[in-house]
Amino acid sequence: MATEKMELVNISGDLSMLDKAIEGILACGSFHMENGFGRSGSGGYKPINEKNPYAALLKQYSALCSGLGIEEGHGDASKCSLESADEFEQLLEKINAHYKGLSDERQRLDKEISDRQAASVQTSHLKGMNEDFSRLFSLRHISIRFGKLPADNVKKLDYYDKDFFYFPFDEDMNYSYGLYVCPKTEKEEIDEVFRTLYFERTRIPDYVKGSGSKAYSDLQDEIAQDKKDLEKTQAELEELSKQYKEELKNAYTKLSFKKGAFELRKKAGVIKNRFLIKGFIPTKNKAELDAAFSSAGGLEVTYLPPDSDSGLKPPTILKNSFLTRPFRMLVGMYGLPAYGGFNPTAFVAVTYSLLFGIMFGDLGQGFLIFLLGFLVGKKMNRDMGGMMTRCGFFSMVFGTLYGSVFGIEDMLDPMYESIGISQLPVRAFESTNFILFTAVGIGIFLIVLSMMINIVTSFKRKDIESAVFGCNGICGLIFYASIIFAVVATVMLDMKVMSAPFVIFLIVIPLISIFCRVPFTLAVKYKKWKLSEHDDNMTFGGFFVENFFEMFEFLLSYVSNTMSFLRVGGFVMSHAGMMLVVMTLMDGMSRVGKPIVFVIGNLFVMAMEGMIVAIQIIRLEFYEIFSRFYVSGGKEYIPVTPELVNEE
Amino acid sequence: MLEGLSTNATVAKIRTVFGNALTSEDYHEMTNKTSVAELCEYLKSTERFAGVLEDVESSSVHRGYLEELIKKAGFMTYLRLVKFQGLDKNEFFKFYIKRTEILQLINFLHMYEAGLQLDYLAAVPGYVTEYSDVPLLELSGANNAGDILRILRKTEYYKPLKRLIEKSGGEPELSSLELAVRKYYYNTVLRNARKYLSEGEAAELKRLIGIDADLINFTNAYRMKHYFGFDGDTIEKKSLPFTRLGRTKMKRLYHCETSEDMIAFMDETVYKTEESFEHIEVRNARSRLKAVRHVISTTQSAGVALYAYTMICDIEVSNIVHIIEGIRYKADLSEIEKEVAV
Repeated sequence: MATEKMELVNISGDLSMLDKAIEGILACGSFHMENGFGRSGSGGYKPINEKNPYAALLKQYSALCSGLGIEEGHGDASKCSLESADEFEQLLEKINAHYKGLSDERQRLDKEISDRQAASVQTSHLKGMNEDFSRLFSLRHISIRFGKLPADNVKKLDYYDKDFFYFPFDEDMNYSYGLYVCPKTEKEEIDEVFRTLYFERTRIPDYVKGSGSKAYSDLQDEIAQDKKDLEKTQAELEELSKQYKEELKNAYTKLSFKKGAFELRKKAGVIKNRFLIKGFIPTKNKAELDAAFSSAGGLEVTYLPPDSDSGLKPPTILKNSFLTRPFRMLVGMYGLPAYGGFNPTAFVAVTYSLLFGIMFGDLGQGFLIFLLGFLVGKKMNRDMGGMMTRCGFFSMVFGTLYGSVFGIEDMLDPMYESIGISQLPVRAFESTNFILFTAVGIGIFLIVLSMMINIVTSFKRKDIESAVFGCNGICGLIFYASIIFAVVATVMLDMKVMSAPFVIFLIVIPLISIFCRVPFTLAVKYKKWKLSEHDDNMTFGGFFVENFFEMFEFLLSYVSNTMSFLRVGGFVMSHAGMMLVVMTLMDGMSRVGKPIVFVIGNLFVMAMEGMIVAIQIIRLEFYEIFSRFYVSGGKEYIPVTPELVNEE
Repeated sequence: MLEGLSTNATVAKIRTVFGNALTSEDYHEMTNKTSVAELCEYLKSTERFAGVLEDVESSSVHRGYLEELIKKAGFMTYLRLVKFQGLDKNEFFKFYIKRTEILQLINFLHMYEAGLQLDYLAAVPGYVTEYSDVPLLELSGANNAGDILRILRKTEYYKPLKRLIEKSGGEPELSSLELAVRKYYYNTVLRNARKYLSEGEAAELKRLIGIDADLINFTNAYRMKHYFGFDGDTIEKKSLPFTRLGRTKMKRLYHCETSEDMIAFMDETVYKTEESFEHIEVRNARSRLKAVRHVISTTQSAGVALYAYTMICDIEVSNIVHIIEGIRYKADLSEIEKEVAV
């Protein structure tokens, strides 16, 4: 139940060797990098302020890939021989030399089609116009412009004191389609007015002559021809894409890696011509780092104890065995423990699996969850799958004890009878009290265990308040255990234990100690009597009110946390109850319907109850158990790997 | 209480619409585009802008018009949200129309000062004139302060402007006019919040406006210090009298020795940002976004949620305009991507 041992590593050298150092770090794959500047002990090192030469190039590659319809990334960087930014630029230029012409042609055709379609919209409204277009455009004193104007801007035209007329002849959500006429002498000025109003002019091609209907049909022919040309250009682009696909993908992947690796330079600190990289490495991986740097002369690698730089907090790697490892996911959700702190993964693994087994005890359904766990672990999430196999196993164990197989509560009876057990000890609806009392008993056991863990870990942290006087410390444990003992002895065993010494020494004194935990701790630590550690002006009244309410909350939490475990028993019965509903529904079905209801009912109960139980246990773990001893605040260990650099 | 409950559907709807906000992946894609046409095509594929850009021809759309339509998308979403439960009849919920109006007035005043009032006709977004009672288009014909007052006579902005224009003896300083209009806007919104919303909602809105004002003041103070070297008292005089951070702290900000000190000071407050930035506007947009996102996810008030959402729309618009400019001027788009507030 510990965390992995780490070492602080300082890598320094001549600035020209910085890339070599980063290569070494990436080759090692287990180096957690920190900033090498701006911390105590960094000796005036400053960050490097330089532009990433690969960033803009990567954008251009990305644009090229997207233009050619090539999916970025997923290439094989090792197959790309390019190294410098210039080399990458040369390849880009080479492909662009082919691509640019085709892309421009595609854009030109797109625009032409769009222009002609727009002209076609215009002329479609002029089909009834018998006047020849060429005559309209050859008027000596008047200019005519066709086009579309944003509909919102039409009303602005009334405010211009200029010589023009606007004739709208169609409108959609955004545009008003129409034409404006103005004197030729004022053409430039009026064009400028319309341009500022985002009038998009539709040029009626010169060859469009004749009446409106003729112009319309000519345009349709032209659009069809343009579309054919566009298809041809598109095919050529696809050919180009095929030709360069692999090369471009490989280059993109390598460039992306280079960009990411260059970004790592920003974490290095620099002073004059020297650089400094700081970071952490698990002690067991030191050899890998040494191997990565063995061939790089001129670089100094220094190993130091993890706490030797007060400005840097070592990251936490939870050390877990094969059986408990999947449950690190839950611990991570709550927050990692600080480096060197208590790793609760094993504790969570045991309690979580056990509680799941108790609450979801069914041999058949447990087996399915067990199998499903393998599938999820392989295809989706390894930790999630691992948790499911372990929970499924415990569900099978408790299902066997309950005699429940896919909700059939007597299926295992013959087996038990054959080994001489005539009656199973736990039957959901026959042993209600036993189940509920056992659930509370389990809760009390887990709470006491959590308090004991808190006492040990608090002593390790030298936190006297939490270890001795806290509500989860020695005083809290004595008080809680005494109350439980007194209740059980008086109510269940009919014993008289509430004697004066019992009440004074095991209930009152621990309570007073919890109430006065701050002054008592200060007295032990500093041999000084103070009501508050930070507030010198704390009055007795303030101290009393503050602690009275806190005390109230502690007492309430003892009761509510204990009772909270009743849900464990509740779910044992709820599972049996839900399956009873399935069985009842089955009874009312025909011979064909019965297996269908059986399968659907089991799947429904498994999915719904399985999820609820899983969530309820997380709740119990986090609120009832973790809150008693767990101190998070650890930093996640993120080793710099080529994959990570690629992602960035 | 029942009145409050009745707007819960609007709060839920705002959160749903907020879910369609642009993500960093969207911005990444947008900065991969090499032309305004490609960018327009991408925006058409997003749920957020698909509606407003439906009829737009990507290959020929004018850059300025595209920007206007993007702004219009935010405005139309606001209208849709207030009409959802008939909140548009509540005076408070007209705040965004008012905000658009005051921004237009400020824009006009800038153009008027430069003698370009006729160009204002092209600059004012058409959709604003549709929903505003202020005769914005008529302003383009104003040749002096008297004309401006005459045109605005029947609007709510008449009184605050008249007071200032009379006090200055005809042509007041632009910055004082701008400050007066902004002050009037915030005061009106706060007054309407007290009148038409619950006490709790009004208090929540006051905090949100305090954040908005703090960041506007910080941006302006930084510019005044960095580019013009103004002293603390002048900066304070030109700042909005609303704050979430507190007057004492803002005063300390205004009196910082250098603009770098101002950033260091703000990094000690709730407006701290981790990311690097080149422009102060981007830094503050990020701070604003952080605060506003939190408000949207926690508030139960439709008024507050809507106010916060419109702030997000404004930031989105500014991001997109920044990218459009980057594409147009062929800037390094990897640098532009870094300067996106998300």
